[in-house]
Amino acid sequence: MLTLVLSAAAIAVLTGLAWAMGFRSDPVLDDAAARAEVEGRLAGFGAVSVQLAADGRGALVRDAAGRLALILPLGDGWLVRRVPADARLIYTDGVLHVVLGELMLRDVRLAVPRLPVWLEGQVA
Amino acid sequence: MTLPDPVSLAVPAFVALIVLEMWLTKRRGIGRYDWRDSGASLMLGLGSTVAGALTGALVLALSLWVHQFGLFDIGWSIPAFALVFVLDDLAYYWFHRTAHRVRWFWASHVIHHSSQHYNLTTALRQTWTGFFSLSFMFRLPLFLVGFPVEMVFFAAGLNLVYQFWIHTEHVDRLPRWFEAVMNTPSHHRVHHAVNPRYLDRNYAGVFIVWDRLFGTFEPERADDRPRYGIVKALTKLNPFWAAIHEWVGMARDARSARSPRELAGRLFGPPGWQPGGGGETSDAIRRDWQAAATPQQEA
Repeated sequence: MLTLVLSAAAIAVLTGLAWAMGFRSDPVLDDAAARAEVEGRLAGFGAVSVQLAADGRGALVRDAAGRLALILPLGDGWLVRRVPADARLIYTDGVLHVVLGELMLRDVRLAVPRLPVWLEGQVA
Repeated sequence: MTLPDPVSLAVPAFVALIVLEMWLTKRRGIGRYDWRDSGASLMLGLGSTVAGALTGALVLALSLWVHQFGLFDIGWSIPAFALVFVLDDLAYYWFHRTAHRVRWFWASHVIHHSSQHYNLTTALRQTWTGFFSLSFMFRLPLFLVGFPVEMVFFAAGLNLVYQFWIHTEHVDRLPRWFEAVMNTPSHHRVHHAVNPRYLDRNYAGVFIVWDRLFGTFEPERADDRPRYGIVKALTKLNPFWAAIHEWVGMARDARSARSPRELAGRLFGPPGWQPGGGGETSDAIRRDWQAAATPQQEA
């Protein structure tokens, strides 16, 4: 039991040390970073259009074949997902909803002040 | 003979090296740390230790039971220990390769790959469900040969300790002879990468020669820097979800299977397998990447 408590304390100290040393950034995306992120994570996906979230903490990206990919924040990095062809996209009040239907990622919301032209045909 | 647990003895060194690596990361700007990711990794390490303590007696009892059928009565000697260290690493290679190619074992091993960071805390991100997935089976042949149980576990502990230091971006390439024989940070960065070129490569624990021998070796390239993590990245940094997410996904897929063949594929096919061949498996990703990289021939 003592070992368990000491281990938990060591975890708290090391995690706190990482925080104190400044390893706690919440980066924002720009167009080039979004392209690099999605192309580096999804084999065969060549980004042609990027719509950044208003705060830069996410993006929707399209390739030449019209396929979509999402970039979402995860810690100091990014989570990238292909958007299934049958996923529902809804745009209301400046927020784009992407219904992925995953257990832990059902409905993604991106604040997008203006819907880009290339998305208009795909959004309800 | 009673031997110490190498992993327990190494814990203070693990902590010191993590602090040193954090400092070097800050100072040199090489590698990445994130307090949320590191906290999750360390929690997963602690959880793995607890899981190991809860199931260790059963694994030990099974090992002792199997050992009584050992082919040879191998005593304690330096050559025997050297041999078991090498053979245990060979068993690790095949366990590790299976853990990446069969979803049942991947569900347990995926924890170790679920971080998008590659640093010394990633090394401690270890399985909670290894006993449930029966991964200890890969070591049983060593007891059947007749190696003493304590000797095998000691060798396995040393193997695990060796693998700690290779989880870093601060060591580039080591001398050629060392890179040829031993698993190194460079080789293991490839193993943790999701770049199509690197998927399912470099399974080695201590000796990279197994990958060279069995055709799974891939060198790290300066023009294709590793991107770490898993093909379908976790959506949360929650360590509990990291520990069980693939089991949950597998159970859901198994429940929806429409035939015994599909059920077998869902449980024992490669990770990402889908009926009809449309799944995002490592082989499919590499195939698509190679097709995209190959210039189309004019008809």
